[in-house]
Amino acid sequence: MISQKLPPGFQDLEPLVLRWALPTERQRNRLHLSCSFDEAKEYYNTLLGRADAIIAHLDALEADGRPNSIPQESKNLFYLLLSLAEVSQSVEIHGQIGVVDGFPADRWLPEHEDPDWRALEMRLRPTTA
Amino acid sequence: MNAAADSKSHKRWTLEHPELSTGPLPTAPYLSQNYFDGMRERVFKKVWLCTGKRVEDIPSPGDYFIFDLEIANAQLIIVRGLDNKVRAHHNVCMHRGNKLTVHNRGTFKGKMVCSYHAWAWTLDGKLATVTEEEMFYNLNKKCLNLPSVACDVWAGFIFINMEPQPKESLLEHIGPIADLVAGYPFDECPVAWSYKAHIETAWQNARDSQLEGYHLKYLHKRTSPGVMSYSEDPDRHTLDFKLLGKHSTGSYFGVRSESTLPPVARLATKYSQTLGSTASALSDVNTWPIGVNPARSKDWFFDVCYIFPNFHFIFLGKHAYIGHTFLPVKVNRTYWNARCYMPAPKTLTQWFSRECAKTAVRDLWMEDGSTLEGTQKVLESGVLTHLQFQDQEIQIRHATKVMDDMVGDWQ
Repeated sequence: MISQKLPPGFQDLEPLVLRWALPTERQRNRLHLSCSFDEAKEYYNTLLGRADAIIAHLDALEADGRPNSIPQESKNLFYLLLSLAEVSQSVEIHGQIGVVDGFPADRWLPEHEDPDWRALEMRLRPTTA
Repeated sequence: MNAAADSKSHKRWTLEHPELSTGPLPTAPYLSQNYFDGMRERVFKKVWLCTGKRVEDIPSPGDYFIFDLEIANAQLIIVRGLDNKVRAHHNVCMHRGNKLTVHNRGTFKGKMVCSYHAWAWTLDGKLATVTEEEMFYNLNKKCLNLPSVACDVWAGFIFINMEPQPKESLLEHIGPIADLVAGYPFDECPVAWSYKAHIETAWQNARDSQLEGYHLKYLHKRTSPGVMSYSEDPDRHTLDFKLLGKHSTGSYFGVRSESTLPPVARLATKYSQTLGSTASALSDVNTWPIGVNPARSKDWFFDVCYIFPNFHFIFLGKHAYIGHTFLPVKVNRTYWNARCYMPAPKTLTQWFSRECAKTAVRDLWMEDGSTLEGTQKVLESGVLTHLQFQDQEIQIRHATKVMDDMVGDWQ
């Protein structure tokens, strides 16, 4: 079982890890589009209040720009921050979940998350794990 | 630059091109199977087409991707050879027509081997192996190399041409665009994200959707709030248009100072370029390629650089650009691949910033996509016989004329 913990100082966010600390855009987007606006807004407000601290933590890790080489606890925190990016447009701009009158999200396919694409990425930029 | 002092802001560009009308244009070509057939036979099977993918997509010998040219019922393997040359072969086994690969991308280990009876070809398309060869009768192996298609590379972008003997080289096709974007650091900007969709709309609708900046203030009022509105000069919009043979460019005004970014967008913009960044503040505009922000304006939003017939650059700065590939599938169906390129993140914070930029651009594209299928339904209803175009939509007018001239008599 993957750790649901966060680094010291972020324990208050641990109840969010199971639901929101998701490693892929597809997963984050699916959750975002399935949750209520109130839940997205509450998540947004909670994470925005801790964003500077999270960024300071991530900056101190001296990672290479990829999450693969950092401890699981920090990775969970990083994925929480990416979920903030995922919901931010709905809260800040659309005032609803998803693009107003937009093209159907389930037909707009992130080619960059296809397994063969990720395999190429890994080959071009191997991690320093 | 004092935006209001720029006298070009209210110039009427279309009037400088008497070959273009200023009147409405007919909807009939958008709906006609004959016109579509003409596009297939006289354009998409004749001219250089950008695959929308780059040499970095296939970095090593044996690496390949599939290019589906559905309008021509063709599926091509674009593969890097042992000599590092990039080639295009039809995805076909010359034995009995099986597909050599069913994957969208991958790596051939030295040879392309058919899964059916294990015939094999070298990466340059030469027949290498016929299994149980002695059991065939008078096999003419000279005729069993893979059928190849012209393939060439410009600025790292891979193009193909279905014409057996292309009438012009790729560089001749690119023409003046090559000098305009020369020096753009494409190789410093790997693809950051790439979305694809099949849209139930005429290819022209999709092409047109990325050929004008007029809609930014309106359709994208949420995702690009205020950027193109300027209180001192509300009608200001275009910095430059160039019609360049088959291609064209447009350069659009924008100011960030009047637009206030919400908290997460503002946070993201601190760490790398996003839609909220002022690109002209990130590097000296005088160091940019001469065709990107040609007016050298600080109040600059983006350039559209259209490479006929199927590829649009949207330049967002010196180190950020979009590549749109639009390919016709059927008269009412289009493939769209939208890719954004920018430097890879060096830190996790930059990764977060890029994730914010991605969701913002993703949403903007879904706004673009929102119009396309509805427009198709309206056009099919027959209620409109003509479409209206204002001065800022000159690139559509021009692209339509270029296509009309090549398709010729279709009615």
